[in-house]
Amino acid sequence: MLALRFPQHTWLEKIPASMKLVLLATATSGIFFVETLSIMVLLLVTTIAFQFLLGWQIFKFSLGLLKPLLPFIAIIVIWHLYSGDLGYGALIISRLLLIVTLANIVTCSTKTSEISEIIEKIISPMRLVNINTKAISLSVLIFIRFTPIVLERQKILQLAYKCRSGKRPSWQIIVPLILSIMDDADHVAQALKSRSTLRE
Amino acid sequence: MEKKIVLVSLFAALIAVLGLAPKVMLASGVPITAQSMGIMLCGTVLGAKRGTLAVLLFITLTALGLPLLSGGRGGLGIFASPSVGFIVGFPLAAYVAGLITTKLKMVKIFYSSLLGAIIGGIFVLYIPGIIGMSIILGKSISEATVIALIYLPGDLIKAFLCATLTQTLFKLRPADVLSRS
Repeated sequence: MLALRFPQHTWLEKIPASMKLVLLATATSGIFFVETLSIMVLLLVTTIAFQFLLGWQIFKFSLGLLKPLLPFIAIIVIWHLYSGDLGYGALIISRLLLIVTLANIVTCSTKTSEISEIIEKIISPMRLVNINTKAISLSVLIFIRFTPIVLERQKILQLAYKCRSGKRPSWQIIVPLILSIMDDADHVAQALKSRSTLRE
Repeated sequence: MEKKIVLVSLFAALIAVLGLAPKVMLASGVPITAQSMGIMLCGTVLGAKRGTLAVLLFITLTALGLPLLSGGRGGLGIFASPSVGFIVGFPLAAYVAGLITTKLKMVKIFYSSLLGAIIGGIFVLYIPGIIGMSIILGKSISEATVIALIYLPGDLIKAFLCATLTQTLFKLRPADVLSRS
């Protein structure tokens, strides 16, 4: 499934999504006021220890989620080695890791459907100003359903290009990929129209 | 109506797929993905309004937890990462790229979409991007600009490719290039 979830069930899933989001927002705003390195590191270690208590699988999974931050951490380290202010660099890095870890905990312990319910509630007043909220829900569904399909199609086009040219494809397959998307759009639109899905 | 909604959703999927494509390493060692070209294409092909909607759809669902941002990132953590300014700037970038492509009807679509991709997808995008990096990384604006400039050569190549792709699509399917139809 196309979603960021912990590999195991946890008790965190039972907490209502709205409460987790409010807690996260409060914590994230609060963290920006912490300017002492030792407190920041303590908070980070506590958060990581908390994940460890949730289970080894979850701990490993969560650390993996931090990997995309490595290039930025490298930039900060090099920068502060050069400027000599290593303490400040360490503060920035631990703040970054802390906030991203907290946000990941909320994301990975909350069902996508729960969050989309909250979104639906937030956008529902838009109906009053004549915005078709049904169209929004529908585009979310089409997006989630078609992303794996477009990805698969891209792989097929890459393979075909490789077979015919012997070279690794890069931008050459984007035009056929978009053309196929436009064909899909025709077919899906026809299906929606014939079922009058969008009529209020 | 239906066709436009579907096109918006499928272009959002295209942004995701372009971000998941294997990275190309620049000479400087900075990896670039085609994701930001997906943003430019949304603007130059779908036009300002629909391009922005496609990008908003993509960002909202990524923030909700789909790991679709380049490098497999997703979840609310993206708003705390150094890329936050770029992510917030994506819809704005698509809007400006689309606006320029549509408004400059008197020039060939290649040139209007190239200008749109450069002004929207680079200039307009880098402003919030640099501000975001300077806040999260604790750097001054000028220091953050230096870091952002590493991406400039790659983004210029992407703007050129975006213009070429938009022109080709316009030749093949003029009716589906909503920015000009």
